[in-house]
Amino acid sequence: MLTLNPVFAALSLIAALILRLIVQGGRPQIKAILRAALFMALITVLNPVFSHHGVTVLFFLNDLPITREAILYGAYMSAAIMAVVLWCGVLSSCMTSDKVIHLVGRAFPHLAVLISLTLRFIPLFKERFKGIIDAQRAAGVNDETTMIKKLSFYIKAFSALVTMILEDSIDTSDSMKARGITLSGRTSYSDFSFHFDDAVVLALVLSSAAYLMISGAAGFVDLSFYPVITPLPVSVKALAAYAAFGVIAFIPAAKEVIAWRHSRLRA
Amino acid sequence: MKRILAVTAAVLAALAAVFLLTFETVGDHYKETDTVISDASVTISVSCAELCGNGDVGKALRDSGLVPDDGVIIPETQYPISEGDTVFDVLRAVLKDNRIHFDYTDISDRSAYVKGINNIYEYDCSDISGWMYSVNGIFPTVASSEYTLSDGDVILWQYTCDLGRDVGDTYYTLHGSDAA
Repeated sequence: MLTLNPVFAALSLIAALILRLIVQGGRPQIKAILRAALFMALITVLNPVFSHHGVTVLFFLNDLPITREAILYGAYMSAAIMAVVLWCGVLSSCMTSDKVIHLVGRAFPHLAVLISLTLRFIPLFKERFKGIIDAQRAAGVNDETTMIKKLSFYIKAFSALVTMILEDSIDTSDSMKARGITLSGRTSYSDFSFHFDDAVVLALVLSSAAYLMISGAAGFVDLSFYPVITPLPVSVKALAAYAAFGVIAFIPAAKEVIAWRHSRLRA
Repeated sequence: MKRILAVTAAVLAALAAVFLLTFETVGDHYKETDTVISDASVTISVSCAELCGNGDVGKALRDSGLVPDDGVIIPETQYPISEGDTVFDVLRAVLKDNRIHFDYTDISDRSAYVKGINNIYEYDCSDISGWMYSVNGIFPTVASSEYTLSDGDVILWQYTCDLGRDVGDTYYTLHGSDAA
């Protein structure tokens, strides 16, 4: 099932990058992209130092072979890891708690509440922590001259944060109880409905995923890096699998582009 | 302060790279060395015959073209040894002479572990596969770099797919797999 085909990694990376640029804007992303490129270069360089598998020896380092296969595998792996990181970033900025509740709320109501609370609390705590530190600094009670004093300042701020969180959670639970979270027959508000175009996209995604699973199981797209890099599969079946993956990967970006174009026309 | 730290770290890393890393081109690595003149010699051979059957065992490796038809990577070879040479030293030297890929973990020259020979690696065949050595038909329970050779020893390196049971080691047959 798991394939090492670099086409998928490349498609996934490109699609995630484009989507991230659309969702979070271009300018502030340049630094993040540079950091990602540096991380990828580091993995590409480090993999051949630890893995000496491969038939094409480029040179020897400390008596052990540095191979082309290991370098290319490092490049592939770094692209795959970076794609996952980018997708997670996009997910966290797109997947708001009301969407989570809408998706899993009916089947697992308790789990959905928990997830949505967690999703809310992480940025909230970050904000609160920054607020505490800003307040301390503004009051002039901070002493950050040495490493140890700085650390103790942050520990104090953290302890204040914990107190604040505990009070917050009591407030939250009181508020939830007051609004009837414990009553039976409770329904949750949802802003989403299932339209014809949703059905089209769902069918597209499901059929693409099904074809990908079949081609993965049947080995249409198999490729291995070690010990010899096997040629990239370019049969019609393999090309269809790349296209199917492209459909899944590029649907979110395409949706954003189409939605924005329509909204501009209407305005 | 931060800049000083960063510069110091960079300088230290560069020094470590210069002193701890040795670069060799492929030509330099496989350069002909002067033959050692010595009274003592051993016989060494390297084989992956266990992978040569027709079954599923080793099929992926056979397909990649790394397994010789008869499984012989190094045929029986006489090799001169000097005082204190270990099984690991001889293996490394013979593979270098024959320009064969060799990968190992070397814990400060104390107990080396052979990971791969000729791109055939540990775990390539199953979870309990890898390279084992025997000297005069006995499978020692020490690392190959801790076994000091004497004149006339016969070393056999074999690829096992079954914790040594398929190449003639009886340790796990007698003690059971739990003994690992």
